[in-house]
Formats: sequence, C-alpha cells, structure tokens
Amino acid sequence: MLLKGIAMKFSIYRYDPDQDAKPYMQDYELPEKRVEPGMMLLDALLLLKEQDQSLSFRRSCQEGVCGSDGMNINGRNGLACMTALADLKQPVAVRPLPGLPVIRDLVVDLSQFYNQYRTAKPWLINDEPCPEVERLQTPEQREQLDGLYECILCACCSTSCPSFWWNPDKYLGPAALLQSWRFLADSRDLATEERLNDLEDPFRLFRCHTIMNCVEVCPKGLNPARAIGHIKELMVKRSL
Amino acid sequence: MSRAAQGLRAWLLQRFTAIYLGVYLVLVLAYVGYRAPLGYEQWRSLLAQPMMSISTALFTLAMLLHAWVGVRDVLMDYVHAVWLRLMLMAASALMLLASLLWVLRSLALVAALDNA
Repeated sequence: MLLKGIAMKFSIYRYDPDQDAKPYMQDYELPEKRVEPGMMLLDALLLLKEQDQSLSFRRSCQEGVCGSDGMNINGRNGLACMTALADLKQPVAVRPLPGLPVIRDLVVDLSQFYNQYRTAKPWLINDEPCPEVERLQTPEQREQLDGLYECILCACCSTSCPSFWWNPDKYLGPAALLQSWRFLADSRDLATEERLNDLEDPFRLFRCHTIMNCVEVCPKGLNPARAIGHIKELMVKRSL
Repeated sequence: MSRAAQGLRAWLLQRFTAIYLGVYLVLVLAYVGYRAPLGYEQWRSLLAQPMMSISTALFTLAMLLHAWVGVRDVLMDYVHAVWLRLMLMAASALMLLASLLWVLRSLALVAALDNA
C-alpha cells in the first residue's frame, strides 16, 4: 500500500485514572501531508502527540533496541517503532499491553513483569575463584546463548500469554523463562540445580501450556516456547 | 509427593498416559472397525479375554490420571479462590474415581459371566 496522499485514522486507548471514570477509545487522524512513506507507528504517535499533548506512551531509542514502546497494535503486541504504518489496517487500534495495570493511556505498570524477571535470577552464578583473565567459552558454548541473550524485555511476549494473564504473580511468563534458560544454557553458570529446583513447582514453569503466543509476537524473533521446552527436558534428564 | 515435584511429575504423567491412550485407542478402534458390526455376544467375549480386560482396565486408569492432570491444570489456571478450587478438585477426583470403579465392576461382571 502506498501511503503518500492518504490520511491515516487511529483509535487510541485513553485512560487517566485521575480524571476518567473508565477507559475509552479516542479517534485521531493524521493528515495526508504529514504521512510519509516508510513511516513507523511510533513516528505517527509522536505526530499525534503534537496534536494532543495529553496522549501518553513510552518510547526511547525509536529503533527496536530499548523495548520501551511495546503496545497492542490492532490486537497484536509489538513495538510501535518497528511496526510499519503501511502494513496496518485502518483505523489503527492502539491499546496498552494487555493484562497489566494501566498507569495512563498506553503506559502500563510493569512491576509484575520485572518481579518475575528477578525471580529467574538473570545473572551468572559461579562461586569458583576468578580466573586471572576471564571465563572462556568455546565458540560452540557461546553459540548456545544465541536466540536467548537478544531479549530486550519489551514484555510483548509475557503480556500476550494467557497463562501469564491468569497467574502473573505465580507464573514466571515467557520472558523470564527465556532468561532462566539463558543462564541454564551458559557453560559458565554453576547453579543448574538451584535454578531447576526453583522452577519445579506447579506454577512457576508448568503453567506454560505451549500456547505459543510468545513466539508469535516476539519483535526480535526469539522463541521462548522452545527455551521452556529445553528447561523441561533438562528437568526430566536430571530426575532420571 | 513434595510440592516441588508436583509440577514435573504431573506433566510427565500426562505425557506418558497420553502415549498409552493413543496406542490403545488406535489398536482397539482398528480392531472393532475391522470386525464391525459387533453384537452383544462379541463385545462380551472380547472383553472377557484377559489381555483385553487388563489393557482396558489400564486404559481407564491412564485416562483417569490424564484427565486429573488436565482438570487440575484448568482449575489452577482459572479458579483462584482456594476453597472453591479445593471443592472443584475434590468433586472432579470423586467423579473420576467413581468412573474407574464403574469400569472395573463392569469388567469383573463380564469375567464372571464368562466363567459361569
């Protein structure tokens, strides 16, 4: 679709807890002279914010690296800065990431998401004496971390996961479990037992029913469902 | 069973029982389809064979365990009031156990008929 010369219509979720009794959808229009080819949704949102300064959303790097502008776009979670306007059906419905408390408009409270991330102990645990230079890995060992370390914690996956919607306080969610596996798979990490023990209860890992929404929406093309499968596999191997 | 192991064991149990359920269903449906139509007498003598009655009893047990893990999963996902979840779990467990007893009784009756 060629965008030049077409005005774009938007329907955006608005909610200011101090003023509004309940959330509502507000229509916006971006006049055709402001629409440029190759525009991303975030560019459009920034222009709409010039029209209406009260419209709130998070953004930072604007190129899919920081993970700040995760939102629900036409029913699908994604990063506004990596979603081309040309690919979107109008009016573009923009909502906050589902399942989390809304602070204002498209800004959600990510505390539960970060709490679960913390539960996964996303750091290297190794109590052996430090080597003189650094802990080396073979290229093969390093390869194990590909597809895991790239996560930018945008929360698109966890907030598209029904298991995380129902039990965000008990189920770690795909993002945190991807990090769990990232450290289980790391040849330098020595806390395999401890990490697996943490995950063996009925909720933290086993609420995953391989619904695969996480894989479907990840803007970085990562596969948390596969990582979860690897964790289960390792757990089975350990119990035999 | 410790609380810690409940996640992995339940998950494994559901997978292993699924394999048995699948194999049994394919074999029995193929056999019954091949011999159809089966009348009362054929069903009775089929179920009176020890191989058949034991594998059917195992099938029922496997189905019961499989269904238990599934129902438990659904209740854990959606029912957050602990007392309500406990009641629903107890009711499901009771129903599943009753079904098992009913099947075992039927199999025993068939075996008794055959011996008489």
